Amino acid sequence: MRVINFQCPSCGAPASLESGEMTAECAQCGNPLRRADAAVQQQSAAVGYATQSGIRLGTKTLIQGEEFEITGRLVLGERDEEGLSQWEEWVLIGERGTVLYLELDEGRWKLSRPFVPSRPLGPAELQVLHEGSGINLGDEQGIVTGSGTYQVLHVEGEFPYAVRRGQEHRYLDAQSLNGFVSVEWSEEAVEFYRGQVMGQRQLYVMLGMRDELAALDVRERVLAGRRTAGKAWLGAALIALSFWLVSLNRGQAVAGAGGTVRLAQAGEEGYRHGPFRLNGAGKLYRLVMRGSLSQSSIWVGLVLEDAAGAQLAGAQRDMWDESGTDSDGYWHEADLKGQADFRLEKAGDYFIRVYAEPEPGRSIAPDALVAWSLHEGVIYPTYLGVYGLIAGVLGIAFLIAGSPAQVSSTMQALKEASEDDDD
Amino acid sequence: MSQPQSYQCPSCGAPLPVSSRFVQTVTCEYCRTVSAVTATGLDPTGETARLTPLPTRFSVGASGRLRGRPFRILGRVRYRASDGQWDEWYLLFDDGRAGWLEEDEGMMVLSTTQKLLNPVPPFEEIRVGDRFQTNGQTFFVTEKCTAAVAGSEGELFFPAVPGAQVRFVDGNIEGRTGFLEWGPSAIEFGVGDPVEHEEITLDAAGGAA
Repeated sequence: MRVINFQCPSCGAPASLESGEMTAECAQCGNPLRRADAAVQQQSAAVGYATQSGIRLGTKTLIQGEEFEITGRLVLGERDEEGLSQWEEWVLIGERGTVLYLELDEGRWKLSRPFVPSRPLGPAELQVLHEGSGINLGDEQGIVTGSGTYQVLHVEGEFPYAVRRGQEHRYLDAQSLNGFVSVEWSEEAVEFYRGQVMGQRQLYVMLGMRDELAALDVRERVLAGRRTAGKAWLGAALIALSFWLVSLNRGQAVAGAGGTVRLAQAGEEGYRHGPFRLNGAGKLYRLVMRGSLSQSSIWVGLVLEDAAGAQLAGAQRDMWDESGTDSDGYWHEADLKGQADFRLEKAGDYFIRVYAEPEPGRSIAPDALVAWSLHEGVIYPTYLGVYGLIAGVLGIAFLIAGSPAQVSSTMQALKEASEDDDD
Repeated sequence: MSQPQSYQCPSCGAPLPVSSRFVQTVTCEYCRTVSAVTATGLDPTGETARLTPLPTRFSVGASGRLRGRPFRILGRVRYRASDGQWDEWYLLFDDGRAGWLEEDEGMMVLSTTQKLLNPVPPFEEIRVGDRFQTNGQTFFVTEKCTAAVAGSEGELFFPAVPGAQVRFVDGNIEGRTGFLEWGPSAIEFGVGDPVEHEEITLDAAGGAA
């Protein structure tokens, strides 16, 4: 910082002003002193901050009949527990003196202008608001989306107000009915802004950024293609899963292969039932059994045998049926169903052998029954289900990859590409 | 933008073009020095005052209409604070009423002074965000600053002595703008409203933009 030394014009005592200071007071006579020597004064030196956006200072645009020029750019930063976050803000000065602020806030473009609220709030009221609080400024009402303290990290271009690196401001952002509202305050002033959120395309059109617009067109076509692919895959998944649901059928009951067996008849050797004819070599069959018990628990096994007594396939289940009365009144619980699928190797005559084993120390009640049946032509549905799931995952993946949120990463890629071009 | 001006960078001496009369801060393209545009104004003796001709559509003597009301610009005062300056134009309407027109960060405000009918807190005790009563309405403090009269021209209803310290409190009076100005001899109180650019037309003879 430069120091300018001079004499007090009133009493002649030595006085000094640092660059950046306009006024001082003479230490001897108290005369107010002001600088008048320079048309401009140095405020601070800046370091370079590359833009993330492709927006250039000097760009002109017509907004509501007034020509604006982007004259200044700020990089603002906020330090919190997650580290330093940075964002950019541009100032647009209109030919009539209207000032607009353009801000890139977490991927959203915000264009705002100062306003006079009918119900202003001061620092004490603002600093107790937090994310999710309601804010009522009279004609503008909203929900607070964020607040904190930002610091000016970088200054570039021209501004209609005094700005310096290192300046700190408290801020509060809120979503309002018509767009958004933000408030900035310090010990010297509190300022209210309101504006609209713009999409990337709207911004590029507004600023006439043709290259970015073309790149966005290409990108959006790619994204739309992905979305279409995603929908197609989801459609395929829906069809596959529908078939899978339909295929969870029981097939055709085989005539003669079925019946009801009194479990008490099944001794240690089991009770052999049949023969019955199975003709569907290579086909899938389902053996289904359903018990009928009362106040007991019996292990039931059904085994498919050929005429020679070789055991080929089987289904088994601990079946039980209990009921009683407790403080809630009467209760009844049962588990009486079992099934197994198998593929028939060759046609022929077959038997079902029924085994039953009661709980230790109990015997099988005479009215305990098992009804069984065989169903031919069961469609084994696993491959359909797997296909449906894969198609569904692909569909969702394409939809995510095609979502508009991917545009911001595209902008990152574009920016990197343009930097490569510059090199 | 109208009438670009050029300064020199105080750090490296490179030309520092300023594109618009609304610019108050500018950075050097070469050395990235950030500078405040203050314009040569006042010599340290406070004896003579000279206003740098900042490009503007207004001028003393100009006439026009504001929301249809004919007016004449009688005078202007330029104020300078620690890092900025602004002009206030003294307007006389054909019905005999007077008003102050101020341009500040893209918002034009027309204020009329009112007689302050009740005491207000001392300047030193006022903080941004405070509320107090002015003429039966709530004055909410949005800004507090100390400035000096940098110069004046034309006819004014008070003596604008160059170098005179003026303390300002700007505020919001139930949705309108307001100001309190502690001058050397009195406290001025004014109430105003934002004015859109298209609500002001200047007569051609008066030097329209």
